[in-house]
Amino acid sequence: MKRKGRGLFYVSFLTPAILCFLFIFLYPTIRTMLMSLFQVEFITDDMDSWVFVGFDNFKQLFNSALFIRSMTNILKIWIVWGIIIMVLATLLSVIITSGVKFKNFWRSLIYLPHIISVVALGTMWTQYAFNNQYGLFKTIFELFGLETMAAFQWTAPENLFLAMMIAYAYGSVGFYVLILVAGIDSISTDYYEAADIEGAGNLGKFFYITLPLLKDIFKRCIVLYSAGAMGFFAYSTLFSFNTELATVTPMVYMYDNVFGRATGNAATPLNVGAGAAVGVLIMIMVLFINVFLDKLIPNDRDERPRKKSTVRRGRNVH
Amino acid sequence: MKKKRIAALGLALVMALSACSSAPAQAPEESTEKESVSQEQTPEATPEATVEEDAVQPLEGEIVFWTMWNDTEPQGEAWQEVADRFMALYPNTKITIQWCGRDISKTLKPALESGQRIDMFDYPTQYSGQLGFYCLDLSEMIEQPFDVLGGQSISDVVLPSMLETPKKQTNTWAGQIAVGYKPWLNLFMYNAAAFEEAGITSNPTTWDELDAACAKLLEAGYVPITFDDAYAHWIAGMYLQRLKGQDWVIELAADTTGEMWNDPAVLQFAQAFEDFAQKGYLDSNVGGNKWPAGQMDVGSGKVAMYYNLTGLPVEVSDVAGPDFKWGAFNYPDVPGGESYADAAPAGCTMTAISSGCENVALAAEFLAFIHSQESDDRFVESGMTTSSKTGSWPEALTDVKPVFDEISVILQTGGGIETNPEIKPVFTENFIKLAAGQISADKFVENMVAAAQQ
Repeated sequence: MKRKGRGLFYVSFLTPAILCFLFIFLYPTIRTMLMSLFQVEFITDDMDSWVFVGFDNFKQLFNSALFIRSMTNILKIWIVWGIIIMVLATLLSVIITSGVKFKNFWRSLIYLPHIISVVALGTMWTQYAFNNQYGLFKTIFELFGLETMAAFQWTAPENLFLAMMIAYAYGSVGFYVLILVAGIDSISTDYYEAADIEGAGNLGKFFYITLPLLKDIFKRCIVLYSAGAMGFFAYSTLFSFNTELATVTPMVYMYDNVFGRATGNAATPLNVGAGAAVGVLIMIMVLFINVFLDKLIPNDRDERPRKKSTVRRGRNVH
Repeated sequence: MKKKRIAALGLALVMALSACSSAPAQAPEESTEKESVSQEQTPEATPEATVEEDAVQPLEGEIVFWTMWNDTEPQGEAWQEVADRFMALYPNTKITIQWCGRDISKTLKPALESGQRIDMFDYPTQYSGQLGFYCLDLSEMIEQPFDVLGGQSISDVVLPSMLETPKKQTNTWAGQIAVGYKPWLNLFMYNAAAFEEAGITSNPTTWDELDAACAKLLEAGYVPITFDDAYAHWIAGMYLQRLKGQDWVIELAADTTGEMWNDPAVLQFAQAFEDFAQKGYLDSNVGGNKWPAGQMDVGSGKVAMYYNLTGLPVEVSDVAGPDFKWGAFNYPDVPGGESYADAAPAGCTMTAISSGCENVALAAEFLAFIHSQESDDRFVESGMTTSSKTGSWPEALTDVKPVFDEISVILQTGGGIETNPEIKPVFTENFIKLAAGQISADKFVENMVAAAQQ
């Protein structure tokens, strides 16, 4: 009787999830992978109108200077700015958990940009903060008499990438601070007390207690950041009206190929197959990153002390 | 425990059902909304709708119209008013407007293919000729007389370009699959007051005249020209078009050997703008202008000229104020090139009637109504340009109309430089640097040759 009930229980909870997975994730993925081997005119075209071209779409991608540039951009976003954002988030979370007053207020303040719509943030950055006539940075630098800094053209093509990444860092660091603060909070204070008794300074405590015990959480943060970085799109479109070399990413390239970005009356040719090929490449990159991270930072569940689950205790008491 | 299990099962089922109802993520939310609207009113469409307008039989039925506007825009509000007036005129009719916004360029084709009810729609230019199958041929319809047009036909009332341009934009020369409205042109828009102050008495028609005009403006204290990153390739591409013709520019954009970029024409073009940059004719901010920063400078009176659309006045009207007078002139001819005084990039929004439309008579009537004097005036009020031969122009643009009327050859925007999406970002970036004085004309050519070869 108990086993039958269990079986029905599992099935009824798993079925919706499996159905969702099949129709919303697996089917589109397989269809996209197929599309990447064909020449497709429009994304909703019937399969019988597709023309098989083998790996031509992929060849076209690697021959496109614009696509290669988008790949270098995404690598910069993932690696260089990933490190910068993680370091910044760690710094902020350590400061917040080091006993400052109004900890909750600071945490909310740092998290706030993450909640605000990306479009609103992007508009603020491009039209106000970075503006070269009355912008925030220009006014502040002029106030301090830093004339050369005030004249810095943030939105010029050569500086646009930096400007965009500053805006991105501003909007995303809060998310990781939240996770890291929760992680640091869950570290038992016994360790810190023991370290104090041994005479360890703040830096020592950070490198020998906080960092190792946060390894799991760091890994998760890196995975989350990587997933977000691979899909980098919104900021690119906000900082560039037309596709620009400074801000192009694989997703932007894919969007241009699948939906086109016509300004004026010239309709550019669509190549949905190439767009699908970009999608396949992004998927491979994300899979590769996951495998790579698994090898780099292995899970070490045994060492980390866990708070005992209260649910188990509850059941045993019954 | 059993109760808990049943409760859990129930919740899981509810979750599954709700997931199913929201699963069709592809179809826009508008479709569910549309369904509820069309269910409210069962259309009394006469299947054998005769194209002949019968004055005795009152018009009735429903039209579902997919538009590229949003209901919150001034143009959208104008459309709703026009539809309301139509419904007041013919009480048994219903015009249901589906506000697709600019996304119509993505949602229209799937909707038409899947058989969704759409009677009329704004034909997005991005589709070129792909939707021809779904459009009725309107050649006969535009010739028949309509009451709402005072007995005239659509072709009598609208500008000839409203019938020509749609043919070009849809690449369909046989038959008339769409009728245009809200025409636009690419012109040099300028601050008329600034020109007067600087003592410029006639519109520049050649590059040298433009040079002289810029010098006068500089003396009068204005910045002559500016542009945004979004439209940099327009002012650049047009010089090349004036110099060598649009077909050559299209070839240039597609060039992968770098040979065409080595042509002396490209060097002349680069030197012309290098020259302008050195003389200070281009705003110091062009290096970093993010749209719409540049055009706001024109509206605020700081800069005198901007090569853009005839829709520019509407876009900067908040900054410019009601007293701002606009002038316009076509892109000047350049030394070494032919005369193109009557050629400019142009386009229009287009309306088409779906081939699956059941109530063609009603659709025809509405199409005619859109082009009636009353509706046209309302559209002009909301900032659209007029499509009517006798249409009124907003006061601020009265000087623009004669220039508009002269244009008869329609070019592609940017003179054709947009046709290759791979080279366009490199071209724009290099041009912006050239205009900002960061690279020389020779370096520009070098960079473009290198980029083309990649």
